[in-house]
Amino acid sequence: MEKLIELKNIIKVFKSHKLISVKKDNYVAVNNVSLDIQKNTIFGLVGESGCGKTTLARSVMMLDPPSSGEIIYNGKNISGISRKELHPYRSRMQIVFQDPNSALNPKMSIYNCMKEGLVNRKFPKDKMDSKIKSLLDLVGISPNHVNRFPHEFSGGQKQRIVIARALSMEPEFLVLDEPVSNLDVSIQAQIINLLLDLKDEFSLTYLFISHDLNLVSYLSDEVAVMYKGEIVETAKTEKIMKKPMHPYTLKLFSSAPGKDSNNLFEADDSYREGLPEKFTYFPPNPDSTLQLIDIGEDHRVGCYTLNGS
Amino acid sequence: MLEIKNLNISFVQGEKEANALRGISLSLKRNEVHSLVGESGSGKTVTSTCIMGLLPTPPGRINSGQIILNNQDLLLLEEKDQRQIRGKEIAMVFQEPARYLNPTLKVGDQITEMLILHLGMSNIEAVDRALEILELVGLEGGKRILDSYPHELSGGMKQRIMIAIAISCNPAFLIADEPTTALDVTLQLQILNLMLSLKNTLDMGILFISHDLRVVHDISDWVSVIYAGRIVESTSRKELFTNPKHPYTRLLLESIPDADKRGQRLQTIPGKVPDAENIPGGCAFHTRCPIAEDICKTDLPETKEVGSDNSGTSHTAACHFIGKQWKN
Amino acid sequence: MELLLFIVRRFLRLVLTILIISTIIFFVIRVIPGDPALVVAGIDASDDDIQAIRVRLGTDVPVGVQYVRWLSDIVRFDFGESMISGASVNKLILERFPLTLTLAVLGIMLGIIVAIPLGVLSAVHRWSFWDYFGMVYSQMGMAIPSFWLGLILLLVFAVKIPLFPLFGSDSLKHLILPAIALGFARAAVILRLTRAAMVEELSREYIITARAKGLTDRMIRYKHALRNAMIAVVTITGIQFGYMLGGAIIVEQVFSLPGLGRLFLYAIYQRDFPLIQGGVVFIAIVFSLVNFAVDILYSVLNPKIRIS
Ligand SMILES: Nc1ncnc2c1ncn2[C@@H]1O[C@H](COP(=O)(O)OP(=O)(O)OP(=O)(O)O)[C@@H](O)[C@H]1O
Ligand SMILES: Nc1ncnc2c1ncn2[C@@H]1O[C@H](COP(=O)(O)OP(=O)(O)OP(=O)(O)O)[C@@H](O)[C@H]1O
Ligand SMILES: [Mg+2]
Ligand SMILES: [Mg+2]
Repeated sequence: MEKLIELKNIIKVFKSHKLISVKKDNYVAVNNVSLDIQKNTIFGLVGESGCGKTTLARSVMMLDPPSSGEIIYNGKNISGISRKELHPYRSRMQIVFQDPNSALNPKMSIYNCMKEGLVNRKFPKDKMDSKIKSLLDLVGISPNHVNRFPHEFSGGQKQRIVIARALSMEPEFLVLDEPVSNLDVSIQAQIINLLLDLKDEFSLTYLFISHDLNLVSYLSDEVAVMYKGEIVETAKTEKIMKKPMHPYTLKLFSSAPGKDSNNLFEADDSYREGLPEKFTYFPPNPDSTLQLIDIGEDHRVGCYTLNGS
Repeated sequence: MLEIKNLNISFVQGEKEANALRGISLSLKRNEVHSLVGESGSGKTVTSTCIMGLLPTPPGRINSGQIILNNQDLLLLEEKDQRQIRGKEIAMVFQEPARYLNPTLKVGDQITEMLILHLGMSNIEAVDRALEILELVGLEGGKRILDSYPHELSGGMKQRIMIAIAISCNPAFLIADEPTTALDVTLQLQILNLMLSLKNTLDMGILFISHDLRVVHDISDWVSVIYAGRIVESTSRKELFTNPKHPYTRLLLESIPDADKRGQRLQTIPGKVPDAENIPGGCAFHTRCPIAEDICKTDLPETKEVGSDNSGTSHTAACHFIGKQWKN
Repeated sequence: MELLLFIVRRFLRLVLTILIISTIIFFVIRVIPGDPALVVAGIDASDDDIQAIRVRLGTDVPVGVQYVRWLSDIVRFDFGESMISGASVNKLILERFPLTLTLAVLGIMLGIIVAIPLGVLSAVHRWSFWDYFGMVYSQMGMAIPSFWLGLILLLVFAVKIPLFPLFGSDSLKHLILPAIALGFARAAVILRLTRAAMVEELSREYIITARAKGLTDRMIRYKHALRNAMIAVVTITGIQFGYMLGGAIIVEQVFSLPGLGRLFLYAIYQRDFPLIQGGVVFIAIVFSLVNFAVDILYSVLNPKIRIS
């Protein structure tokens, strides 16, 4: 396997921009995240609302460059390079958001929506028509509907159009930020199947963000659990499903609906099942830093070194 | 018991008529969670607003039906008498607490105003009662919470406040319209557990509305599946999840992604829910149904008893071809 | 504590605003072609005379020095002396201000007493008599110029039916007609916005919650909706009050009232630069103070503002 993306110590801080502000409230939304995403796999990122998933994704795509850290794309560090050098990477990485309504301009026909990106990419004009139609066909939208406007489509169809538009850039890497959270189960299944087909057809790599653990465990090859800006556990999906380690992961997994037993897991400070002796899950003092330790076969757990060892 | 009988509701806008509910019948018992599950636009919210007497008319129009509580038909009551029912006998919790709470009123006031109005309490009594209710919904911090504004509370806390408001007058029935859809899984579980414990301690009947079958699985005693304004299947939770009969229910259950289905394709239901303005004739599901035949296009299937076990649990479904298999 | 912090922050902003406005005024006046000293001195004046006037006006030194002087004057609230009458600008302004202020306060009270209830009524009973009445009123209010209304009022209520005096400014009675002329159009604006704010609030989701609680219509409207609508209403009322200070200039002219408006008008006719400068800064300060008060009131009404 080959790495497509390596993140090294990504930190994203939001600074307050008030003119006259009494206290400085800088907010660390993503704290020291390091991850590898393998080519042609699906990497699932889960965590509760506000933990920094979207912020991390936007950093990875250099839409909102990180405050510090490195993003290595296909062996090249893209975090420090100029806008011009970054340009070719822009189209190789695409993002699909949760809400297709805000992603599509309501005043633009589907054809024009699709054309915009292609023109930007200097796609030959004479092939434009057939390209757009074949892309829409690919995601199951009838090419006869190219002149319709977004409001004439259902939520699921709009999300397909957004996906088609992302594909028109011929990306290698797609960030899917809760792409089906707003959709009904039946429509959700259609989109998921579509994403799986497209992945195989174009050898795509996905970063799939969701808070639906059932969905992530169905879909992804690897999972990372994010908590308050930090990754607290990451492993192959089967591993983490079979043996979740970190108390937060356990809590998240035991909260997922649809299980027969669902008692909220409450870990106390003595909880340390399966963790090597000299570590602890709970910060021994306020300024201890979280580290990811490998407990075997790339199953990594976030913990702190105990005092005195 | 709260009984909804054959409720038929349209929305009329100019020439167009959208038949949102086409004969819904439900019965809600105390100390029971009855879930109403269906896709977007199937008529869940219309059902609940109509029970609460909050359906805007016009554009809404009640074509037929009864909602019976304590031997009286709520639909025939005058607005003044309906107000006595709302909040006191039947209360409601909404999906987005952030928008359904008044942003400029302290949450304490939002809880106590009902106690003062419906139960005739004095201000001091009402505050005491509000503090008790906060404890009941698991909000610690008492007075401090009563003194905060909604935006000072987290999403989960706001939803607890909504629930606190709803249960403050000890209603016999609670309607919860997607109460956890806007919340995280961890908060969702807390709220679901809270509702279950309230059901038991307060002997409440809960109509739980959701489109998430997994949540419905966790909370319900009874489940009704709604499609295009009609109940297509209704039975106990266990029976529904182990022995679904209607093809729509079966497809819905199979389309849920799950770790066990890794590597398999998900079952899908082609097309989408028809909009209420042009619902297909016959069985409304025939356009998406894998086992539909000609009769489905013309004849509306009757709701009939389809239970296979002898336990006496009722299991009803509306399909011409119950039990027929299909190839994937 | 939070509120105090908020007030301090808003106050700093107020000071900043006044500083910026004063700076703009200073430079605008310098940019206007023509040397004020020439205007004052007249055509026949000798060079020495002109130089003397420049010294008196303070325009003999470089612009930078003038600017610093100007700012330090403002800090001490000293705008110099009128070039025409020689009286201190301060004194002139403060003499006339109470009348204009009374007029504006009366005008805004008219707005509050008439427009806000009517706006609420229109929103609550849409398409009722009151709503149509409100619509007709607000159309008229915005279309009728205040000087014309003032003249008509004088004609009807002072000349034909002599309920009110025609001239003078000694008692409150003298100010009633001018206040109506001044407040009429402002009230129309407040009415429309009150109605719009109220209609909007009544369509919010929390109103559904209130109904689901079984509250009476009165409680829903006045306890829940109005409270939120007031946030917008207070803001626009404050802005309208600011406008009134400007509008007073015309109305004072029509009713021959010796207020700020007339003072400034004559100052402009006579190119009395220190008075013009002082007047504009003064109005700006009053305007900012009104806004400051509105901001504070707004934050009291809107709990969300305070913490952000
Ligand atoms: N532009 C911004 N300025 C300041 N703070 C921000 C900004 N964007 C995000 N944040 C904060 O960073 C944190 C992480 O936000 P983010 O959107 O990444 O969360 P998320 O994990 O995607 O949540 P969700 O599941 O709700 O989408 C939040 O607390 C948010 O308030
Ligand atoms: N005020 C209204 N005017 C016109 N049509 C309406 C109105 N309210 C609901 N409808 C229609 O009634 C049907 C049922 O809507 P309802 O809101 O009950 O769906 P729902 O099951 O609650 O869906 P969701 O899961 O999206 O909340 C829809 O087709 C909708 O368009
Ligand atoms: Mg997000
Ligand atoms: Mg709904």
